[in-house]
This record gives sequence, C-alpha cells and structure tokens, in this order.
Amino acid sequence: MVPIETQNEGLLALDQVSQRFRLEKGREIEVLKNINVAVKDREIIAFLGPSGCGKTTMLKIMAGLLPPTQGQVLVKGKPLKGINSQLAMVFQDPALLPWYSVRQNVALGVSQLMLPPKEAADRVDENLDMVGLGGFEDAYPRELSGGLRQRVGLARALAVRPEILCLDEPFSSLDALTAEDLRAEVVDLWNDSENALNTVVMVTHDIYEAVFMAQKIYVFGENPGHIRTVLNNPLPYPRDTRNPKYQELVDVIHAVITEALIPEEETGAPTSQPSWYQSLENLPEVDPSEIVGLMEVLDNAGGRMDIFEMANETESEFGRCLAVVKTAELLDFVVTPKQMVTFTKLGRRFVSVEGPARKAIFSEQVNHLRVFQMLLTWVEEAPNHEISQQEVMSRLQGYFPNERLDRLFGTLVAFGRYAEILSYNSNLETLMLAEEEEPEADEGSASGKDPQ
Amino acid sequence: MSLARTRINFVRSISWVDLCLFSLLLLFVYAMVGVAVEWTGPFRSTTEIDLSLTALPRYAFLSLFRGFAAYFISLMFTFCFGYLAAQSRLAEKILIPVLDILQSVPVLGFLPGIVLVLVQLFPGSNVGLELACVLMIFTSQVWNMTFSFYASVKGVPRDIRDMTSLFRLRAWDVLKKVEIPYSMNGLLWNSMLSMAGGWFFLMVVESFQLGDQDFRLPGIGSYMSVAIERGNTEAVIAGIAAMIFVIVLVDRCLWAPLVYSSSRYRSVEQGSPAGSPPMVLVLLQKSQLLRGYYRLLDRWREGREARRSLRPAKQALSPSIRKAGRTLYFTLIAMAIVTTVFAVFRLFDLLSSSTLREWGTYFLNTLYTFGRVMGAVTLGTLWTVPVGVFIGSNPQWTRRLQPVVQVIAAFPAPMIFPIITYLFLSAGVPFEYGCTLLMLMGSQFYILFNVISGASLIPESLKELGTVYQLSKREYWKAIILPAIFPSLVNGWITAAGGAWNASIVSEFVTYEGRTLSAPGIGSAISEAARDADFAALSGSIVMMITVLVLINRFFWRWMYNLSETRFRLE
Repeated sequence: MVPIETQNEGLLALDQVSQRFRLEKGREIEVLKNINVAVKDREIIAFLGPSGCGKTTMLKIMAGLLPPTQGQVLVKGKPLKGINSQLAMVFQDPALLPWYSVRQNVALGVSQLMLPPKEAADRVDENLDMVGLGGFEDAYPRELSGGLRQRVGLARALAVRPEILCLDEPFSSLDALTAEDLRAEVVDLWNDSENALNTVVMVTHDIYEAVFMAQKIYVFGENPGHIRTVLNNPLPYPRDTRNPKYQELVDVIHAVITEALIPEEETGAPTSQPSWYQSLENLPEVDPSEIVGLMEVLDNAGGRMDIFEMANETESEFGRCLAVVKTAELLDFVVTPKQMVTFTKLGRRFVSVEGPARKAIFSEQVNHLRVFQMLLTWVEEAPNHEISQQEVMSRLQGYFPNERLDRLFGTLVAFGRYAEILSYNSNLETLMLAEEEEPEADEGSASGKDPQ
Repeated sequence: MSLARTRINFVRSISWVDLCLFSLLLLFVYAMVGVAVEWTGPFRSTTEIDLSLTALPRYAFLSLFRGFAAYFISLMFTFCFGYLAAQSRLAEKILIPVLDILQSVPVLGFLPGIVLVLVQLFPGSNVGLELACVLMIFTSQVWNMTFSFYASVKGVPRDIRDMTSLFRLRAWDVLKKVEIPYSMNGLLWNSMLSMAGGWFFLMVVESFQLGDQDFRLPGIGSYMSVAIERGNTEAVIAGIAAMIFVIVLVDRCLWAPLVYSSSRYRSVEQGSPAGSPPMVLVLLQKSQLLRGYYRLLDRWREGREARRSLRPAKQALSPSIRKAGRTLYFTLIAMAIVTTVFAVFRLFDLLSSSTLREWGTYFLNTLYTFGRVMGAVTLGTLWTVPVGVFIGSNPQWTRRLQPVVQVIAAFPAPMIFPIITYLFLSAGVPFEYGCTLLMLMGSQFYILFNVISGASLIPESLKELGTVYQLSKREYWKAIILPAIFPSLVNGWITAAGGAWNASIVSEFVTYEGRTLSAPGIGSAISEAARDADFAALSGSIVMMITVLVLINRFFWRWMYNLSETRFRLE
C-alpha cells in the first residue's frame, strides 16, 4: 500500500521508522513501530489518530528534532542529519515569546536567513498580511485571542518559505468557529499557487478536519503507534461541506476510518507468553463516571447509536469516545455490531435502576474482569492485605509491556474505588481491600484533614 | 543657521532632570576615583574609622560599591554556571550537588582562605583585602541567583525549545531572546533577596579579626561596629539612618524601575501587573540626554544589522577556533580538578588534626544551634502567619505594605543586635536563650514574604466556602487557611531555617558595650575559631555544620516539600 519505490522522488520519506523511549528503571516503551510515509510535492497530508498514539513524536522525527531509534528519514532521497531545514512547524500552543510583539515574533525565524534588513522587514509584513494580521503588528501575544495567536504562529512558519509546513494539532485548542476559519485559511493559502506554501503535513485527532483538508489520510493505531491504513481523498478544493457529493464521500471515509479505528479483535500479541496472560483485559484510560455518562446518552438515544454520531453528540474526541465504548463493552453493558453501540440486557438494567442498585451492578461487573480478580488475589495474599503501588506496577509490567503503567494503575484504582472493592492510600502508596461500610468509619472520614 | 537653531532648541529643551542627571554623573565619576584611590592605597594593618557624620557618605558609598561589585560577580557566575548546569547533563550532575553544599557553607567558612590568599597576592596595597571583602559578600549573594537561573533555563517549554532549533537560532540568540527573558522575573526577585543577604553580613566582612590581625575596611559596616564598640549612640543612629537611606535609594532607583519594566517578561498566564510606573522612570523620560543617547544606540544597531546581512552567512566556527576552545575548556576543567584535589587534601589534613572528643564537641554545638534554629523558626511562624495572612488577603494592604516590608527585610539586622541584646538582657533573659531572638531577625522575613504571597493566592471560592458553611474562626483556619498556605509556608521555612543557620554566626557571638557575649553553639564556635585563627576547629565545625544541614535538607525538608507539592497543592 505504501509506495516504497517512489520514495526517491518524494520530498521527505520515513523508512521503517520505530521509536522507543526509555522509562525509569530501564523499562522501555515503544511509541512508534514500522512507520513508512512518503511526502511528495504539492500535497496536503493528514495523520489521523487518537491523542497519545505517537503522531507528534513522528512529526518531531520528520523535523529532525528526534533521531529515530530504528529506520531512517530521507530528505529528497538523502538521509537526514540534524535539523530538517526544509520544514517549518506550527505548534498546538503556538509557542510565541510573550515579550516580543507580533512583528518581532514573526521576524524571529526570518532573522536567521541573513536577508538585508529592508527585505527581511518586507517579508515579515507580507506574511502578516497574508494571514490577516495586518494592523496587529505591534500587539503583544497576551493581547490576542487564541485564534489570532495561532495565526502569528502560522505567519512565523510561512515567513521562512518552508517546503513542508507541519501543523501539530494547531486548531485543537480553539473554539469551533475559529478553527473552521483557520482551516479554510490554510487550504486557501495552499491552493493559491503564488504563495510559497508547497506541501502541508498535519497531525490531527479530528476526522472532520482530516477529511476537510487532506488529500491523503494516514490512519494511526495505538500501542505502539502504527499506520493502520492510508486513504486517498480526491475531493476538489475548495471543499464545500454542503455539497451532497462531499457528504457522500465523508460518509464513506467515516466508515473506513471507524472500521480502522475500532481495534481488531485479534491484535497479534507476542506468542512467547502463555495464553492466559493475553486474556487480561487492557483497561483504557477512562473514568468510571464517563461510562455512566455514556450509558445515559445511549439511553436518551433509544439504546442504539452510531459511534461516530456519538462522538459528535457528546462533543468528545473520537478516540476518547471509542475508549469509553470499549470499556463499557468490557463491562458487558454494550455491544458494537457494525459500529452501532447497542445496550445489552445488563446495560439496560443498569440505566433503569438508581443509586446503590446501580453501584452493585457496576461492582459485580468490575469483579468479573480478570485483571481485577488477579489484583484482588494479590492484595489478599499480601501481608496485612496491603500491597504497594510499586509492587503492583512491577507485576503488571509482565502483562502489559507496552503500557504506561502509572496510568493503567490510576485507572485500576479509579475503578476499584468506584466499585467500592479496593481502596488506595495515596500517602503510603498502598492498595488494600475496601473497608466494609460501618457507621463508625463514616464519622472518621467526615472530619478529614485533607483540604481537597 | 538651521543647525544653530536646532542647537538652541536643544539647549532650551534641556530640563532640570538633565541637570540632575549630569551632576549625578559627575558625582559618580568623583566617587569612583575615590574608590580607586582607596583600593590602590597603601596597605594598612588597622584602619581608623572616623565616627563623625561628615565621613558617613563616603563610607556608605564604599560599602555600596562593594555590594554592587559582588552583585556583578554573582551575576556573571550565575550566567556561566547556571547556564552550564542547565545545558549539559554532565555539568548538571557535578555542579548542582556542589552548589547545594556550597550554599550551606557559612560566610566565615570562606573567610580565612580568601583573605589569606588575596592579601598575599597583592602585597602593599588594599586591593587584596578589598577583593576578599567583595568575594565574601559574593558568597552570601550568589547561590539562590544561580539556582533560580538554572531552574528557569531548564523550565523553558519544550515547544519553544523545538521552535528555536527548527529555526536554527544560534545558542547566543537563544540565550538573549529566550532564556534570559524567561528567567528575568525569578532572577530579579532573587537579586533583591541577594542584595539584602549581602547587607546582612556587611559588619562581619568589613571588620573581622583573624588571629592577631585585625582587618578593617572603611565602610558603613565597620563604622557601625566601631560605633557599637565605643557605645556612641549618636553614631549608631546615624549609621542606621544611612543604611536605611542606601536601601531605600537602591530600591527606588534600581529595583522598582526594573520590576516595572520587566513586567513584559511575564508569560501570558501570569498576566500584566497593574500599577503606575515608578517615579524614577517618569522623571527619566523627560531627559533629553537619554533620548539622544537612545537615538545614537538605535542608529548604531541598524548599521550593524545592515553590515551583518551583507556578509555571507556564517557557517560553523572554523576548526582551529573550535580546537582552541576545546583545549581551553579542558585546561580549565583540569585546573579545577587539580585545585579541588589539593583543597580536599588540605582539608583532610586539617580535619584529621581534630580528636574524636573535639568532634563530639562540634556535634554537641551543632545540636544546640539546631535547637535555636527550630526555636527561631517557630517564633517566626507564630507572628508571621497571622500578619502575613492579613496582609496577603487584602490586596490594598498588600500594595501599601509590601514595599515597607521589603525595606525592613533588607536592613542588616546585626546592626541593631546590641539594642535587642540590651532589651532582653535587661528583661532578665539569659543570652543563651535570648540569642534565639537575634537569629529570628535573620529568618522571620522569609516566612513573612512567603505567607503573604501564599495568602494572596488563596482562591476567593475557598474563602467563600468558609462563609457559606459558617465555619467558626478556628475551623476556618484549620480547614481552609492553613492547608492553603502550607506550600508557601514550607518554602518559607526552608529558606528561613537556612537563614537562621547562617545568622547563628553573628547571633551566638555578639560584641556588646565592649564585652563579648557568647552562647554555646556551632555559630559561636565558628566565630571564635575564625577570630583565633584556629583552622582545625574552624574546618571541623564547618564540616560538621554542613553535614548536618545537608542531611536535614535531604530528608526532612525534602519530605515536607513533597508533601506540600502533592497533598496541599492548589490547582
């Protein structure tokens, strides 16, 4: 699928790139695995995937900020050494210097090009006008709204005339209208051939954004980050969202992406471990209250809902929404035939009851999870029925080699607490069984010294 | 003709501010000549201090000059070593622990070494002694500045770092445009603290005895010590007044304008502080002289930019320069290692001459002082918490009282030790306990400042919580105020305890109406050892004190700090 043989004519190519980070105590985590990407002239490429799947790391590798652990970066066919001078980046938080005016901030990159002062000044003003910042030259970043600040970042990157403009989720911290406006702006700048904007590479978790802007969409999977599939999006620019043809294509792409984003049933787990190891559920980083929220939303929708629609409805990021659905599925509250999230019998009962009854169902389901059964065994076998966080994490390490264990531990604690089967002392960092509800115990906790 | 007219216009537009500025400039040149004469003058084993009022301005300027010379060296040290520690992993691993230990070495610990070496180096002139004095002030100013700069440079956000590397900014540009601006606020705040810390030991460093030699330099510190020795009340009051004048002058003419103009270095989240520009800045804006100067500076800068762009882009340094640089770097490192090894051997020599029994005495002394330090911190907490919370939670009072408190805190407390000593001795408190009060003088303001800033950060919603649930006064403090200011309080305690340890040197050993009062403790032991030039006892006591201090910092304060960062953090 990935055109390896055309790498040589491309602007930039990643060839079998993998990235591992060393964590404390010699542990390692794999962030990217076997990434192959080819960036050509006059393209807009989007990398789409849930947050934390290594997309930003990949951008840093492209920029030469981070040498890959394995594989290589090719710039016009030659291996990249040091910083990639063909590339400029717009950051999520625009990374402006607060003590410089808009003009000075944009001039920062230009000043390294050693242009004559007159030409440099013209270049700065020209780019400020281009992104619609004329009149704001002498303002300071703190006086600008988020959208305008992002435009400054854009102007600063454009002013050095890069061959590749990288956008690292640049619209995700903006409100919907401003983001819409800026997306159109970037596409227009790219479409307008007299501007020096050649190729755009962007990273996003927003399906809509990818479909609206990109010609080619690389869909990312998690743990470790890898490319699931590559889609071509031939819709002509400027893209009119009301055009029925557009809508049709969007639906097709949604379906493909959703298919790709919903994890495959059998991820090729390492075979060196005994089979019962693999059957431990990997609990996504989700808060129990989010599951309850999802159940309520589903109930309001009549018990059936398309997963993409649900992400829209709850105004949550698709990857996040998916994680919640996946967890609800683990708890046997929902099933997802063909991306339709549907109540199970248990799920329906869960939303129909209130208070303690609901908690009882939740508690029972959590108790059924194999990872919790194991955790409970560990606690029971430990001296004094108390086990340290460190001990639990080092034991979990064997089962989940590619996980951020502190996060997994946090999720397990949150579920254990919510289900009232485990309790955790954050001062001593120990995990223990939840106390049986007794009236005396209640009084003790009411006068708690903790201010929070 | 038009030239003549513009000249006349220029003359007319000269304001009285310009005249003042000009005469100040002349005065400064005159005073600097005086300093030069003083420094290069023939070496005197004893300096007579003139207690008349007319001599005071000269003394004040000499002390001020020493303070600023030391501050300048501190700044250079900070930029070099703070930067090095923040940029290089290896340097960080070596420098940070070394600086951590050095900052707990009391000022007198450096004294004999510095003085003896420098006086030997410049025989026959005052340069050696003056330099020694400046270096000692430097040792009481520099550490917190270096740590602050190091932390700021380390704290430059990841994205900004990536941005500068992508644009391939040179290291010098990154320092100038990013790292120094980022550290500006912390550095300025620590500079003020450091200047105050430098004044604290002014009396010690301007007049001290080393064995049978009495080293004394003309300055406001020595003026005060002579005035106290002779019991000349008039001179004591005049000295205090002059010191206050110097502190207020520095605050109004240097720190206030700097703080005001550095507000643009605050990040977006910190917001811009309200307030009008300080008077000095308003006045300076009227000056034609300065305006002309700035115009010249601008023109020169533009010319330089234009010239730079004509030259071809500079590639990496030529290999020969790079090679020379590397040779220099390794030579410096080698020299540092040799000096350290030599110093360590000397130190071991000195330390091994103390008997086991003497080591026991050092430890016992440290325990006594530890008790006093804890006493001083407790006393300080008792009065500063209510006062600090009151000031901090009323923005009006904060604005009104903050500058006053700053000036009081910068005043070198040892200058009024005789007065306090007189007060508690006549109240019947024995000196062994009373000197805790003197240590309090050197530590209480750290707690006060931190409590004020902590209290001003308590969210309004938390305070309203108290009103809504009608908490009793006691409950309100216990459940809301104390936990909310706890992190600031811990910060205050850490610095206050450090200050109290340092102050023990001047607090446990006080000259008062011609007689010397001494309380058993590590501070008085160090002072006495320095006076008697007993280097074995001096080095032993200091090593014992540092060891105990580092252990307390590592275990007790680190634990407290972690607690405040996790459980009591206000989101």
